[in-house]
Amino acid sequence: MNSSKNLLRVENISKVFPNGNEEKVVLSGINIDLAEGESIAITGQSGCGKTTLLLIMAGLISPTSGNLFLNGKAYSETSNDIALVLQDYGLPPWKTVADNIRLGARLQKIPVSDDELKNLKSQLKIEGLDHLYPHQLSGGQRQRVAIARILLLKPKLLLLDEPFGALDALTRERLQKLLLNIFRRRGFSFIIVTHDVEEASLLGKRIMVMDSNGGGISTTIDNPGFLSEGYRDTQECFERVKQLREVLKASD
Amino acid sequence: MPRYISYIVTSVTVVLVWYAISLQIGALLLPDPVSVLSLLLTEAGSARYWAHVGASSWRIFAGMGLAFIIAVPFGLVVGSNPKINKIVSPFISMSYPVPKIVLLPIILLLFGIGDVSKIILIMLIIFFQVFITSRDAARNINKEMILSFRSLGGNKLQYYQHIVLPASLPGIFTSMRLAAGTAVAVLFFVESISATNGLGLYIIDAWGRADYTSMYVGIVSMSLLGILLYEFFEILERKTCKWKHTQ
Ligand SMILES: Nc1ncnc2c1ncn2[C@@H]1O[C@H](COP(=O)(O)OP(=O)(O)OP(=O)(O)O)[C@@H](O)[C@H]1O
Ligand SMILES: [Mg+2]
Repeated sequence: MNSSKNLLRVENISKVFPNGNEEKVVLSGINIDLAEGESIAITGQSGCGKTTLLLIMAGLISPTSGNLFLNGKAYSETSNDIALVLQDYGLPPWKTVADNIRLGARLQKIPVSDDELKNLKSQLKIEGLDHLYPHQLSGGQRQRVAIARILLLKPKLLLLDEPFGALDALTRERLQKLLLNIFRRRGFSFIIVTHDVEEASLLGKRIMVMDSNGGGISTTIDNPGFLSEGYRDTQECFERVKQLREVLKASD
Repeated sequence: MPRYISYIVTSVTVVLVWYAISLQIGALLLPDPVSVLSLLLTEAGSARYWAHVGASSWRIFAGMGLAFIIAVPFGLVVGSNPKINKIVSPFISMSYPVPKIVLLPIILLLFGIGDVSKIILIMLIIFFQVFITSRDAARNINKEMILSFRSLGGNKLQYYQHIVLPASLPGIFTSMRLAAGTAVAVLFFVESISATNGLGLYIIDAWGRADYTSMYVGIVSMSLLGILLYEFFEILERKTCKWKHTQ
């Protein structure tokens, strides 16, 4: 089932932003290969270009140079196969929870059955919130609504920008588990940006550390055991976190 | 407190204060509310009075409606497109501070003293307020929300429908509500200068005849027109922006 077919290829991507009269190199020489059913956690210091990289992979901003391929096909625009969850979730405040969850499906004209909707909501524990507006929800609920919204779309690739950053430790842990559960069942791929070394170790089959200046990926760490039961409390995970912390310090 | 109760309380208070003041300064300058309101009731039975009300209402309705229909889409498009905004906004900044009311003589020369000139003047004055509100609302939409929406597969037209319009509506209705007051003031001004009917003329005419009770009937009628408009946009806002009214 888990073929190692390549899903996403990021080839030599760079991004330069104009900065007054000068130019600011935010990304350079980024190469990523992501197989179907695989996950990558990207970490690095604030301002190193993580969000920029994610937006480029989502087809929302164009790279200064380099190429993107999805299933072997070059792309430069947004695609229904790629879904993105940004840090503040991007839920229009004027849409109820029900409308927000259905928004993407509506835009992409994907039929959604009531059963499917019900299942998803119970999986994510967001039942009974249909008539509320985003500002009436807790941060964790908002996050789960944002995730429900893209799971209805059945994307092949999920891009997550610090999705659990604003949550308390317990809620965060719960949502990490939930993400992994759905990931196991659905078989999509995801790339998660996080500045939390523990989260990176829990969610990424590979962990990439970005340079704070120069904008490249300085280190890639394999983390093959991340899906095993109770990984969070294993020595392996503990070691991974420690290793990652050292790499991050060195890249400063 | 239900809205109608607060309305009743407010109205009763206004009438009582009015009564007290009229007792103080004398009925000649400020007739007491009972005689004004009873004359208003009598007038409400006359076709002549309703012709004035109808003429004024139509001018306001058409002027504000036109301003709304033109300013909102124009403002939203300009606000959503930085390139267009760069071209259009200097013209707006330059013409906004010009007091449009001084253009009245020109408008009268061009369009005559009929309804058209009055409607155009009201529209011209309201247009800028509504345009600027719409433009700025569209311009200030959260960047992340725009990106999220695009990545969900939303096209340009859907972007206006699902994001820009709902994001801007509360501001637009607030500006229309404020504009209602301006529109009534402008209407009074043009109708008192050049009109063959309308509440402005009604007031000025009564004033000329030193018939102060009638004059106040006109003033009350014009105020009611303003209040109705204000309420109309308030209700519209409540109906279309439900999310703004939840705790
Ligand atoms: N549109 C833009 N124009 C100019 N500079 C930009 C733009 N977007 C991002 N940058 C710059 O690019 C750099 C990287 O930004 P980015 O948001 O990708 O960082 P990040 O790694 O996601 O940081 P954080 O962890 O704080 O979210 C920053 O220095 C930022 O100022
Ligand atoms: Mg970021």
